[in-house]
Amino acid sequence: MRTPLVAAVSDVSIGYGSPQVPRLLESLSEHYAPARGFMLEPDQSERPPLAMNAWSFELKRVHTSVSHYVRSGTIEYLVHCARELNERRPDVVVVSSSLTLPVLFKLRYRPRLVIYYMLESLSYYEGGGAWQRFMLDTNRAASEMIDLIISPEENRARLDVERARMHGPRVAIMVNAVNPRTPDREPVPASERNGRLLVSGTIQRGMTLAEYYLRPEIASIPIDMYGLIEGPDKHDLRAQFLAGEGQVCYRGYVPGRELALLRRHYSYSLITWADTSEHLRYACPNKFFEAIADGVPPIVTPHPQCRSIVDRYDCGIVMRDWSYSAFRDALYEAWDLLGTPRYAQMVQNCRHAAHTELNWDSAFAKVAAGLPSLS
Amino acid sequence: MHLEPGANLAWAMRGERTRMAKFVLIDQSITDVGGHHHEYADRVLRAASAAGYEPVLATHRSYERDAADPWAVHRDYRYGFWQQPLKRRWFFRPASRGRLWWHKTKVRLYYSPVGYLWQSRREGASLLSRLGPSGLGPVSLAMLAIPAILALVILKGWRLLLGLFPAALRAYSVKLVRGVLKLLLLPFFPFVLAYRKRAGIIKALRTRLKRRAFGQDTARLLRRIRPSRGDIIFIPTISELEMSGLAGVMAPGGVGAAASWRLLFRRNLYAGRPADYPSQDEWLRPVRNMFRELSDAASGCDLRCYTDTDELTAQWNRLGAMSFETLPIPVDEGYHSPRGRRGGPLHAVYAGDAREEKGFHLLPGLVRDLQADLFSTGRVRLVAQAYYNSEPGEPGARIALGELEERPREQVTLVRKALSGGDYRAHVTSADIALIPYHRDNYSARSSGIFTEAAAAGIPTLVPAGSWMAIQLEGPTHAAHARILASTPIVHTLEGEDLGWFIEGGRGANPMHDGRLVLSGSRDRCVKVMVPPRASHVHVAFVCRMDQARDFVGIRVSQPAGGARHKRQERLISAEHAGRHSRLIRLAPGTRDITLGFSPAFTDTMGILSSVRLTFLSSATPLPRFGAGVIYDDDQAMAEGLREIVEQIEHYRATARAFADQWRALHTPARLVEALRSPRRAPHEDKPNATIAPTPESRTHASAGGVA
Repeated sequence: MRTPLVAAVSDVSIGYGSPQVPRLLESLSEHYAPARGFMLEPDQSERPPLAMNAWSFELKRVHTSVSHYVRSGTIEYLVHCARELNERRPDVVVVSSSLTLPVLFKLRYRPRLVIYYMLESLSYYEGGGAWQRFMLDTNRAASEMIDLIISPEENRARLDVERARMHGPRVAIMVNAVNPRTPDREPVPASERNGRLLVSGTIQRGMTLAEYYLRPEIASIPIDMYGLIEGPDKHDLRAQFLAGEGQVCYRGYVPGRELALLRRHYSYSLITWADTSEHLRYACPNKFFEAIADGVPPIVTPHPQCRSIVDRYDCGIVMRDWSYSAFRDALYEAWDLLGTPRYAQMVQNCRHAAHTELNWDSAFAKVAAGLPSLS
Repeated sequence: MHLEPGANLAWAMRGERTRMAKFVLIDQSITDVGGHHHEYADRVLRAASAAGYEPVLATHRSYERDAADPWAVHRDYRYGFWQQPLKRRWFFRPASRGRLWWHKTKVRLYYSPVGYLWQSRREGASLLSRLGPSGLGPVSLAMLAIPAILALVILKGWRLLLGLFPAALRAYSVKLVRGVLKLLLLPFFPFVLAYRKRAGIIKALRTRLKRRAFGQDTARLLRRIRPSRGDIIFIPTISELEMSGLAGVMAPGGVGAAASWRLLFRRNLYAGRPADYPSQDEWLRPVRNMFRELSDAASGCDLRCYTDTDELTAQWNRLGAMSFETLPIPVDEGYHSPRGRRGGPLHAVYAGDAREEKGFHLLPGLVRDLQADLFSTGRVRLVAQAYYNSEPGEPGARIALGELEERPREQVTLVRKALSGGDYRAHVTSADIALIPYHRDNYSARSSGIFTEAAAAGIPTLVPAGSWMAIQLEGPTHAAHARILASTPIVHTLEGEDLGWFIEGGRGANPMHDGRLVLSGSRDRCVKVMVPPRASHVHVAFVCRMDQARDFVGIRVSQPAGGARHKRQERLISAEHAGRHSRLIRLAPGTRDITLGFSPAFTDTMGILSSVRLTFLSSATPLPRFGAGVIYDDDQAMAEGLREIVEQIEHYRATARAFADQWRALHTPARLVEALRSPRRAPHEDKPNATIAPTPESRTHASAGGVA
């Protein structure tokens, strides 16, 4: 019997962002063992190929004459991917966004299982111009080709499934936790933390509430900010952060691996995304799950999934709403709890949450329970 | 003697001697035995029979009559309440399949060398240097480019040719060509127009056909049964569209003009809250006109209209076209005898189809939130019906079902089918707790069948604030509070007019005057009080006359714990009962002060707050906050509500049983039949599901200066 083949078409060069798609490919290969896996990735100039393929699947980089984010480059990328898939005829095909979804239309055979890992919200395409309509219609037309939709957040799943009229495929929710159930290292004990709050990722006025950190009331709280400052006023914002007095410090950009080493020493991790779009309202930030996995209680804006998890495990602090007063009150509460038994309990609760539910193994197990057999 | 097929001979013979008045129940949706519609009809007809009527049942044509039906059954109706003539798929499926095929073709073409060339068409020579990766070799490029170049040459040639002529002549020639083309296509214009307007045309056709069909089916029925004065024709599920089809039979000289017509409307007319109604009045003009037309056509006919809740009656009366009254809900007496207690986990039961409106999509979150302390420990099991009334089910329900299916069976048991008759009753009465997580806006006025059944069976319920179900629980909650106030040590009492009130975010004079405070706008009217030592709870009682009747009051509770700068906040939503509001708040340990902010709960209406009283209580153990069930204020608080019922199950069982005694007395089939045959009530008379009378305890406490 032929060895099953599991393939994924990625919309980004892997090894730089969150590894959901590679992890899924590995897990599927293990589930359908002795299946082999291979992934097609685009050639992003700003993300050179990794020196070593650390994954257990074959990784093939598809070179295009222009960036795959340019439309002609997208076509070129997908034409090549479709040719590859038609030659090798994998049993399982995974696509991870609307950008790579059209490859399904080019297949000359029907895979045994087609998975749409819906990491991107389709709200981007609603109410837009001709191109957005085309992409939304493409999602709708792909519905009958898809067997399983995986979404990281149930509200987004509900809205996007309705939007894309994907009434046929099964829908599974898999939280954005990519850490293993058994961690590589234990969290730093609560009493040994550095007493500071960490902010990491995009820093932008409005979108990530950067302006809140500049308020005088917040100056007394020790906050370290790592990441890229973005937005139309990024230069002004950067100047304000660098010139600011008080204990809020902008420390520039650090790569993800280095950030992971730093994070575990912090007392809290601040994750603040504004409620300015459906996609942001129902955000399930990777940083939220990374913080919990490292035993660093998150302070988070009240996205439904984040609120539900924090309330359930008492492993952090949820702002009551997106207002500045709620932000301030949450920081004050966090500061007041430092050094108390409740804070130590929150750190423990983070470990408990990461071990019981918020890990890749538990999340994938839910999806695996409903996967069909390939025999 | 004319005998209808299946008619009861004894009744028929009785009718020949002394003609019994007929009670005709028309339910066009009855298609099978044992469904909810059939059971409803069964209960009502039995009550009608007990009241001395000859029962007659009219159903959908597809009904397979049951030999046990002890009354005449007429299968006349072509369309049920939810059915429509002209199936949608006849018209839209070919078109939608066609669009799907065309889009797939476009995608395949776009993501191909042809699409690549098209997308790159403006890049010119640089395209030639980028051939390898795209798979476009020189031969392929030549094969694609040559026809494209030829087309470009022709187009350029045509433009050059046109350029030889004067501009005016050019413009005229273009206009001429366009005009000729349009002329040639003119015969097709009506079809094009019809296609563009197809949705509206189909809808209009369906409306007319359904209305006419209902009228024709009813006329056919009545010509057969020949109703006369004293007969009642009751239609328990009717839409205004179907109603408008009855004009012919009700008109003077019509086949049904002599009978007494009783029509029950159970759907929302308005969306949202009472403050939202005025903006919808104009949109409801067609409905108003339907009622007026029927009323005019049926002059002289004994026609009365009903709903089954006071809130819905208020909605429909707002139309001003007909006077509506509230009917009791005919609860099956089988719910009066709930099953006895059994060992094992408490069963939290969800009944009905899996729909987002009914909150099915909230169940996985509920299980997750209580997984650690209630579900995995075996204290509670969720038993949920999980089927779709119409496949493939709503996205939220499908996603939720997938999540629930992953749970161990000892924690979550799914019943994957519709239940009827005894099976459904067994499912409901097996509950220790009935989960009713309905969409509160959709159910702000509508009744809930499962709630009425659980209430009759004495089962505690978990319901959302701001819903009709929550309004029903206010009575037993007030009674529970009265008992608590009578039996729990009181630490301190404060009267509202003695306190320092302020408007949220503002400074200035106390907005309370003569013990009254105006609630309006988006800013709370607040009061901050010190919490006495030893106080564990505070009871808040007040009167609030809202601008819109039956509106809800929001109470924001802020408790800084232990002197910290942050605040723990929760928001309670309260409805009035017997003119007052009553809420019991648990104080966080170490709380030294508490701030209460009052505002209209849902919309920007106004209200007058008065007679505020705060009573601080001391209890070593948490006190139950409600009676007969828990009202949760938002979806996040649902888990806490279920936990409270579990932790205080004996209290909630006892109060639910006490509530059941009152509820059963109000909601019976006999009372419904009595209401249908009674003279029209004056507006000031008691309505069936109005306030349940305060218990003796609360009246005693009221006289002692307590709650009321």
